[in-house]
Amino acid sequence: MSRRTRDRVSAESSARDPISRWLDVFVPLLRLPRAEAGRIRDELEDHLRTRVDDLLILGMSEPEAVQKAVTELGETARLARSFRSVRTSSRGRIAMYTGLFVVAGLALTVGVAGILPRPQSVPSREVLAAASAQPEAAAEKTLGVDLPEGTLEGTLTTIAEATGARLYVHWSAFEGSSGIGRETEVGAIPAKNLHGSKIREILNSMLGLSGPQALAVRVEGDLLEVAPRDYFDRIEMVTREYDLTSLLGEWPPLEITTEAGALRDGLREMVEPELWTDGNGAIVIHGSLMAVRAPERVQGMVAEYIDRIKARFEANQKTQRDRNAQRHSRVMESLPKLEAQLDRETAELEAVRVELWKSEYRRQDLEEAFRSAQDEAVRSARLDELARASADHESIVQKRDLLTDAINRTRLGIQHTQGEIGFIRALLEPGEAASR
Amino acid sequence: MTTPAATPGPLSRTHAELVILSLLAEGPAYGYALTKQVASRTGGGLRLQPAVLYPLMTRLEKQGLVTTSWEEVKSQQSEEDAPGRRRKWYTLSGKGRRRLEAQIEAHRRFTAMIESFLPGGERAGVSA
Repeated sequence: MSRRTRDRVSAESSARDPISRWLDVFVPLLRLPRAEAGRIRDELEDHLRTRVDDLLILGMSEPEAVQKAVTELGETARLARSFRSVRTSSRGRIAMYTGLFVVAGLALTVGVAGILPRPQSVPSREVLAAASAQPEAAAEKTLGVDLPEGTLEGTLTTIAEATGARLYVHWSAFEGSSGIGRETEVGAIPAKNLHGSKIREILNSMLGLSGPQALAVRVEGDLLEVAPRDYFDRIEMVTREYDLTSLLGEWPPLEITTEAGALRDGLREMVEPELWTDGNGAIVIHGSLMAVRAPERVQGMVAEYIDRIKARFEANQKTQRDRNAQRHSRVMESLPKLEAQLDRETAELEAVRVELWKSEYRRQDLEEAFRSAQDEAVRSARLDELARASADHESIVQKRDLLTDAINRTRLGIQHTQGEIGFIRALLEPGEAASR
Repeated sequence: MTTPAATPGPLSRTHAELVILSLLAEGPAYGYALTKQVASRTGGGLRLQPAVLYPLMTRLEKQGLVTTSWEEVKSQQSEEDAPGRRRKWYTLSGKGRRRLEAQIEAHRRFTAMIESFLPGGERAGVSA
């Protein structure tokens, strides 16, 4: 079949089946040369139709089969980026996650190239409009219109007409989760109230939508997808790994440690709690790696949470290191003092020992003199001297013993201080300890 | 303890290339057939997601690891005279076969290294 014929067939099929309409939306997002984009279109069309054939055999209805086949391809814009990255791997990816119909603050421009359904031409959950305006033009366009009271679809259509882009609204997802639909009534929003605010937030407030059921949007090029937040969460599930080495150590045990468990529990409690209990989110800690399965939106929050914990942990570590460094300085200062004290005490002990020797000699001399004296008066005087010398000797012995005890205590103090220095050095970073 | 590797789920890009080249070594295939083969051989434990498969096939084609050809097919549901659609077939090239052999070798060495850490594993044989 020639390219022209296939284009004609494609154009004809666009008018009647959802796969072709999905491809019509998808292919421009590729932003690839026509021939290359055409080949990708053909291949994906074959994939989708073959898949639908299989699902029909399994007993699904055709709408169900088509929906499942398209959903399996993943988020449209992400898929397009995957193809584009093959061709332009060096180019930075442009992933705009922006609020729906952001009226850009100061410039009061519509910050998206989003559009809304043209209900008369397409069914729900299909591409709703193909505006002719280019995304660049839409981005520069000031909304500048009042949004009158009416249906949600009408309100969005008004916005669409003021901008110009392609739109894909997942109406059924709204109906399933919150009962919101095309006919849901929306109050008037004067243009003057749109200064610097987000229409998405206003609509969510008017419709009473919040949390998983809140209105959410993804923008890629000139395509706008509108769906409940939990819809995007489901299809944007990704698994990311986070390095926890700085928190859990280089080679933590493979079992969940108390620290790892506390980190995981804290994460579950602080970041989107319902995702880990009611949703498909999962956290697995393996050694120093934490794998988190969560929507891209939540991965950013997880990364932020981990960064905060790391920052606090590192701050605590720094405080502890500073304290240890101060303690190290203190004990390093006390060591020379103790060593000097030991020197003094040792010298004093040596002097006392000399004194003791002298005293011992004197005592022996007096005993000899006492024994050799014949005169009773002299013997009595020698005996008195001997008694005083013995008392002096005893006091010197006591002094020696006290000094010996003091020296032993000082030596113990030095040993303790040296041990403390070694302990603190082990706590400190090797480089820091070495520098001290 | 449940490990991420033991959990059935999407095939990573790294493993996807090895699996795809291995399947193509058995014979030509088209994209959807590759996803079905991965699912059926692993009892549904592994999924080769289209968002991984098709961009990867484009990359393999650009690298000359696979060659491609087109076939016109018709849906089982379509009428006899309805226009067909185009199916893209992939065939492993000589370069692709060499890449596969290198990847298998690297994969086996990596697996051996990991196994050497498991209870009952041996550290021998990882220095090759």
